[in-house]
Formats: sequence, C-alpha cells, structure tokens
Amino acid sequence: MIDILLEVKNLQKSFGNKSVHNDISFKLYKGECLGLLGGSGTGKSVILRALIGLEKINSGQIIYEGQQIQNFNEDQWQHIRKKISYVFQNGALFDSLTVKENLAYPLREHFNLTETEIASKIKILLGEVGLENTEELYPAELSGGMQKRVGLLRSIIFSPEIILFDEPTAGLDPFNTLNIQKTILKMKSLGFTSVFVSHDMPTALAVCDRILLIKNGKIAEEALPEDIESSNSSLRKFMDGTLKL
Amino acid sequence: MVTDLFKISLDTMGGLAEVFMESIRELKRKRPKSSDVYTQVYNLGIQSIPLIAITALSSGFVMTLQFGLGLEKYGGKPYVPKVMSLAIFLELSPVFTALMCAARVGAGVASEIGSMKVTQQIDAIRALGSSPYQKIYLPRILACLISFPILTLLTSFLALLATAIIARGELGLPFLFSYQKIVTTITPWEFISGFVKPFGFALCVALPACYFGMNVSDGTKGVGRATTMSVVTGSILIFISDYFMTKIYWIIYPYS
Repeated sequence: MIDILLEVKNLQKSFGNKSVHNDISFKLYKGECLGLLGGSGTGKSVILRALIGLEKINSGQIIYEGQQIQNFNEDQWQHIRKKISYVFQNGALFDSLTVKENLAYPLREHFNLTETEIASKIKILLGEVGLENTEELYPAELSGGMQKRVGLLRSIIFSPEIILFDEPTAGLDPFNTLNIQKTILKMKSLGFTSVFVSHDMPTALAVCDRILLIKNGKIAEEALPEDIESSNSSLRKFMDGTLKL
Repeated sequence: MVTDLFKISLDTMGGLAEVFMESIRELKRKRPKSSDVYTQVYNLGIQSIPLIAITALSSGFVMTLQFGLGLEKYGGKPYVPKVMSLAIFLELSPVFTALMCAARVGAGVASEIGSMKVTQQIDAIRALGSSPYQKIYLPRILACLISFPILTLLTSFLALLATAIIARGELGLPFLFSYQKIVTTITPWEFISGFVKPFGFALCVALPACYFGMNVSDGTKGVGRATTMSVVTGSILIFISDYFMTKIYWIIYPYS
C-alpha cells in the first residue's frame, strides 16, 4: 500500500465575502508529484500557502504525519516548514543578500554545518542547475529564470520531505522552462514528494504523476497525465483552451 | 469622519501593542543573532550620526542666540548656559533626536519591511522555518533601543558645545564660564531623565515602523502609505509619551 504523506479534507477558504474554496479534498502520496491545475484566480496558490500555514483556512482539515496541522501556532508551523518547503512564484530571494547568502540562509538556520561545508554544498548545487560562478551576485543581477532556479535551490537545499511548487515556470522562456522541468524531474527521481501548481499544461504533463483540476472552488476532475491527451475530459479542454473556468 | 479616525487610532494602538507583546514573547523564546542586531545598529544608529550632528549643532546655535538676545534686555545673559543646558538635557536633545530618527529610521524601516512584504520575502522567511520577528523586527527594535540613548547623548554634547561657542562668540561669555555653569546645573537626576526618555522614544519609532511595514498591502502604493503612517504615528507618539514621561519624572523627583 502506498503511504499517504499529506491529506486535505473539505478545505474551505474565503477572503471577506468572497469564497475561494468550497470543498477541496485530496491526498498526496509519498514520492509522487501531484499537479493542481486551474485558471487564474481559482486559488491554487492559496491551497499551497495553506499547506505550510502562510494562509489560515476557514474550515476543513490538513493532516500531516497523522496529525491535524491546520490550527497549529507559528512555533508549530516553523517545525512543519522544515519538512515542507515552498518554492515561490517569483523566487522571493532576499534582495540584500547574495546568491550564496540566500542559499546559506536555511542551512545556517537549521543545521550545524561549517562555513566550508556550506560553501561546498552551494557550489555543487549551483553547478547542477547551470548557475556556476553566481555565488557573489545579488538577485537584481540575475535574470528571472536564474532567480527562479536559485529560489528553487533555496527551498530544497535542506532536503525537505515535500516541495510545493508555485508556478515555477510562469513567465519563463522555453529554454528556462525546460531547465526547471529537468530540475523537478531530477528531484522526483531522488524520491522527493511534491505538489505542482501551474497553468502550464505541457510542464504539468511532463512532471506530474496525477493531475487535479480546480473549478468553482472544488476539485472538478482527477486524471493521470497519460489519459488526458486521449480523453474528452475537462483537463483536456483546459489544455486546449476551450474550457472556461 | 471622527468615528473613522477614532477607529483607525484604536486599530493602530492595538496593532502596536500586539507587535510589542509578540516581540517580548519572541525575545523570551530566543534571542536574535547578535550579528543581525549589530548590522542594524550600524544602519540605523551609526549612519544617523551626520543627521543628528547637524540637528544638534544648528539647534544649539540658534537657541543660544535667541535666548542670549532675548535675556540680554533683562540682564539675564549669564543665565544662558544654565537655561540652555537644562533645556538641552531635559527636552531638546531627546525630542529632537527622536524626531529626526522617526524621519530617517522610521521611514527607512517601514519602507524596507514593506518592500520585503510586497516581494514575499517576509513569507519566504516564514516558509524557510524562521521567524520574521527573529530576523527582521527584533534586530531593528533592539538596534533602536541601543542607538537612541547614545545618539541622544551625542546630541546633548554637540548642542552644549554649540551653546558654548555662541555664548563666547556672540554673547561674550567665556568658554570656562559656560562649562562651569553647564556642569553645575546638570544633576544626576536631570541626566537620568534625559537618558531614560530615548528608550521610550525608540519604541515610539521602531514599533510603528515594523507594524506599518508588516501590514503593507496594495503593492508599492501601500509601501508609500506605510512609510508616511510610520513617520506620522512615530512623531505623534514621541510628543504624547514625552508629556507622560516628563510628568512621571516630576512625580518621582518633584524638587528638581
């Protein structure tokens, strides 16, 4: 039996009078990459933010490691965030720190590594994503694609159990999109579990094991990537641009 | 209109109290890294010295001249150093330093934190399993608490120096005379009063800066609004708290 790593049950979220999610439920299995797709403004990022406590939900349950975490306080969330990491859409790099300092940040916060060990780890990781010799550059000196890759590295450098990708390919050219795809696939092959939020269908089909479509605040459909192209499903229509969300 | 203003004021005071209580809770839980605090002492304190020096010297020059020319008509010129030293230690120096810091430090901190909020850097700190209080707010609040009293002392020293210079150059009072008057006028109680106020003023500047910065919404427009609100709220709080701190001082030490 495949292990359930995280489960969301009947999640409801609204901002003021505007209801974003009415009833979101899904399970995340160990080692899989789960895609959450939907149009702009359907609250995909809100779900990810709720999973690490950056957004409070109105009702429902988020179950991780057998315990309900949705009502955790900030101290408890800090503990969870060492195991579930979030890759921000724009990278969210600290603009006053260099690439090296940005990547060193979580290592210095949570591990007792020497500066030599940190520097060596950073050098190896940057090399793996084609960002050699960028250690001393500031975020403003990097392109959008490079910033996203550094942001991605910063989120995985402390080997979390689950990675939440918030539109990692948004606004990127095909070359950089492919780079991000390769990085995600590599992490998947290393056994990382992830949730992938996007409206970039080709990337979702390439990296996800399962895809959920969010519509009207609910999970409207669930499908395997290999089934989508041949079907007449909502996900297929979403991919073709003929589905209005 | 009045009701709205009252509601906003109450909201702000509640928010400031919350930031203050949360800061104390975080400080009890874990102390921020000293390197983060030192960096902020440099940014907020040491880099404020030129501004503080200009303020202290110019206010010392002008006030001495005004008092000197005003009191000369009544034969009160020799009292100028005494009057000035009391005014500087008890009021001018703490309030002027705090107001200048509300403008420079308050605006800088609010806009910096606001920009970090807008670009999701505050969320990133939380998402990486750390506390924004530990990394962002507490180092700035502590840096203000460390810097303000020292800057106030510097202001006092420079303003008194300006007094002695003008007293000699414009009023014909010897340097040594001014020095003796200053030294004999300022008692330890007056020194303490002038030295304690900056701690209160530091909170009046740092707490609104952090509060308005961390609650920025509406993108860059919101950052501008937060900066303005931080300076305005900080300045008002300085004047209000100055009254109460002075009142408390007179209750404790009524015969000074």
